[in-house]
Amino acid sequence: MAASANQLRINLAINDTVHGLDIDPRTTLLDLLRETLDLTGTKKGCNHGQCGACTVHVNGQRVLSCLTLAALCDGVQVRTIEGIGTPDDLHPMQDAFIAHDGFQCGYCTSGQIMSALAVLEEPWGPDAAAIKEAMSGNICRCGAYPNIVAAVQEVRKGLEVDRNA
Amino acid sequence: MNLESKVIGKPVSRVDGRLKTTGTAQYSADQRPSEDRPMHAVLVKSGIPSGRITGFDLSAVQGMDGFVRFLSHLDGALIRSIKNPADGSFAAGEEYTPFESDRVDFVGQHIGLVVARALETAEAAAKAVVVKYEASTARIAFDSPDAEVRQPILYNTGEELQVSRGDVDAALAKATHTVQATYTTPIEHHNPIEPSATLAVWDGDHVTVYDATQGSVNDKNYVAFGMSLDPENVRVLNPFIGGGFGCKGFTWPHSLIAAAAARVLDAPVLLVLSRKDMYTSCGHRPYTEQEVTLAADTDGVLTATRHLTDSYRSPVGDHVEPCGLTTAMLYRCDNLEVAHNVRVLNRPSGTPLRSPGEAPGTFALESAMDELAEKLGMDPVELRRRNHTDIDQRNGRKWSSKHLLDCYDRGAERIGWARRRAPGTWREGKDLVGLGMATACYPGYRTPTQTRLTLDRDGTLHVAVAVQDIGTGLYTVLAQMVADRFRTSPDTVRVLIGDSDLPPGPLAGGSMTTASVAAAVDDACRVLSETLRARLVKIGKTLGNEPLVVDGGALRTGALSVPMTELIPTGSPAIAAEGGTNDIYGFAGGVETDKSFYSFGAIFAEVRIDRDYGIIRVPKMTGVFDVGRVINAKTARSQMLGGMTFGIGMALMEETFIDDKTGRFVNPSLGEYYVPVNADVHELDVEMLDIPDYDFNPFGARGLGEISNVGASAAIANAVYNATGIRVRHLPIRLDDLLEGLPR
Repeated sequence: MAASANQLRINLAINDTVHGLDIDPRTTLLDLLRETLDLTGTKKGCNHGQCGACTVHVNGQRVLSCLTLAALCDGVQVRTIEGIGTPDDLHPMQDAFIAHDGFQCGYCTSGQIMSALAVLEEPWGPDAAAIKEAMSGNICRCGAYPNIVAAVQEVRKGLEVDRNA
Repeated sequence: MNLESKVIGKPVSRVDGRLKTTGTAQYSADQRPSEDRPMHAVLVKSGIPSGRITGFDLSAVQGMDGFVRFLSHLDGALIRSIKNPADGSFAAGEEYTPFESDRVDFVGQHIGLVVARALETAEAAAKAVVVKYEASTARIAFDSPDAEVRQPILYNTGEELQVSRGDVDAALAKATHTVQATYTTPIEHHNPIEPSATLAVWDGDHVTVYDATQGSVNDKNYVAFGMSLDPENVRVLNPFIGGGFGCKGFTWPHSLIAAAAARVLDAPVLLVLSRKDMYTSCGHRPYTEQEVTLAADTDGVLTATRHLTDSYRSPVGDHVEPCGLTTAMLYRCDNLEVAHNVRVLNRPSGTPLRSPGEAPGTFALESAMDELAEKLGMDPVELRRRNHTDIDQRNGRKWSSKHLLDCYDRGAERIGWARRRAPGTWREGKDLVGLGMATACYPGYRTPTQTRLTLDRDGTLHVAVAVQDIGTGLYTVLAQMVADRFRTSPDTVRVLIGDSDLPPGPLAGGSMTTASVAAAVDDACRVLSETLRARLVKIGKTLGNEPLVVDGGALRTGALSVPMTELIPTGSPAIAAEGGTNDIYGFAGGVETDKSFYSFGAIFAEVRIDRDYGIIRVPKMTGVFDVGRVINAKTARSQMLGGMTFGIGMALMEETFIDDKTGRFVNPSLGEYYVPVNADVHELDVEMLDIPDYDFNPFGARGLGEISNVGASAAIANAVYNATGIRVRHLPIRLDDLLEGLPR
């Protein structure tokens, strides 16, 4: 993409790869990931910060990428679902979501997992009620909530995931 | 039969789980099929409820860097005129042809499309298009005095909407115990987290449509009709769909608009609906007013039942919310009247939303049953037992398999029904506690389905059918069904669905996919087995009658074991078989049978209500379901959790408001239309009776997508009454409905 007068230059690291990009100042981090970089694992559910499907990590903290202007991401480290695990090399949280069936349609799942991973680093209490609260910014319309809580709790407790449970 | 199966009924983890948890499952808007980056399209929607478009002012748009094209009815016949009922090859959510005329019938109607190279430009341009209108009189309010009122004859399943038997008035005149009340349910929206999205890619006269649809075959036929193509020249791909709940069931104008734009521009076009678009572009559950009258003798036996439903339709969409259909079949009653009226209003079109009719209808019926039990001084479960029947009240047929009484027993035990007390008397700390219950039911449907099975040289079985997994677990269920028939592991089965070029199957709606594919897969497995046996004989093997086993790289039967490489020599094609069925169950024109097919269940809810603030919580719900054989214990339980969660939303949160003056939905966002979040959902307890229904199909499964939100809102409403003594006859029930009357 050629730089033009109304474009901005940003440099940012996404999943440990550094990108130098000329962007439209209106572009959100979500649209940058999806439409410019084809990192389509991050989903757009509402584009208003109300559903959580677009959750990614910026400098280690969970953010709603639909409410984050890419122009403000110069110099940051972004991690998306593509930087967590692959089908052949799952992160334990991904394994736990599969074992506990923490999704149905799968569309909110990238956001759920990015939130769940951030929750591991946040100061939440140990019980399920704390996880329900911590995960309430991520809507699952299919209604997998009890299974999501079970998956997150299992990873938090460092238990081995029983894939046939 | 397969009760001893090693795979049927087991909690097999989803075979597509690795894709869905790593962001590698590609939904419609994720597809990048061509070298050319798709152009981005954004809808321009009508801002008035009735009238005609007199022009578009594009002056603010023309100079935008990257703006490509604006399309509207002024661009000639982009889309072939679709006259309902069209050619019968598809079901559409609306009966009008987009971009055909200047006419506007509701706010949010698609009247234009902006296409630009970048999404940001398309969004800015769509906002900058100025539409000029000539408004005409609109009928928006539900009680608009001059709105046309219709009495539709049939629901889209072919079932009668106006039903009468016996003599209701005579029975009411003699009745000792009666209840009569009006219940209302609000406008509700599906709100799948994936918005509808269509990516259209043309290659000459052939178009590939990556569409977020619950029915690829239906979608293909719709696009073919609208684009004046042979259906063979349309391919719809939907390998992953981010939920639907009905709003992606029938096809909607945006799919045609995207295909038309891509054809005009000779470039791939991606149209992703915004969350706000979703409120007016693909249906909603319409508001209903339901008057229910029940009469019973002193033993609680129903002597009269009347269920009158008033709802509405848009000028261009013919959906009827069929609230009374459940009432016509569920309880034994000789004197019954069920009627449905619809007013024609200038509102966006309705469409089925998870359990259309059953969900709002059972809120009314099962609330009324609770009121009748109260009046009789009878336990609500006992009242339902006394009106239980083994005969379908609509047609006198026996149920193929009905274990509803067991559902009541198991549910009552699991929720601790014996703890229930008189209304408004159970207090724990600051909370008022109550228990409520309701009956759940949903029809068993099946439609024609064909399936192709292939056995590879490496021992892999491939099953292919044009169905789709909208989150139900169908990928996994299909792998289990094939694995069961060849006594192998689901890991050795590859599932190919989500492609309209495959042998045709049903759309994912009406809880019918599993039962439909069950019959087709069973048949295809039989054909493949015969083919394999013939092949074994041909290569000189002697066979007994023992079943075939696909065992890694070998095909076994009895003591015989033949390597796949011997069965399928180098250079030979894989062994393929096709099977299927044209049988229809549950719809008009179906198989002649002396049985009726329905799933049943019982839902119980415990509520706790803060005595000072009226806040309503649901600490526990129990659902016990009689849905035939469960194919996958894990994904089936998940669907039930999801339906019960839908029920919590319907009971306590969900409502779309319409402004009667402007015809606009007031709260078209997830910030103002509340759906349950994680913190709203507590213990959900699910039991499946797991009793096969082999009269319905060879795997004994019926279907379970919808039944778990049928009755759920009534169970919660009845629990609220039990906790507080306050009867709320509308949904959702909010704390302001309780605050004034709470027992102190």
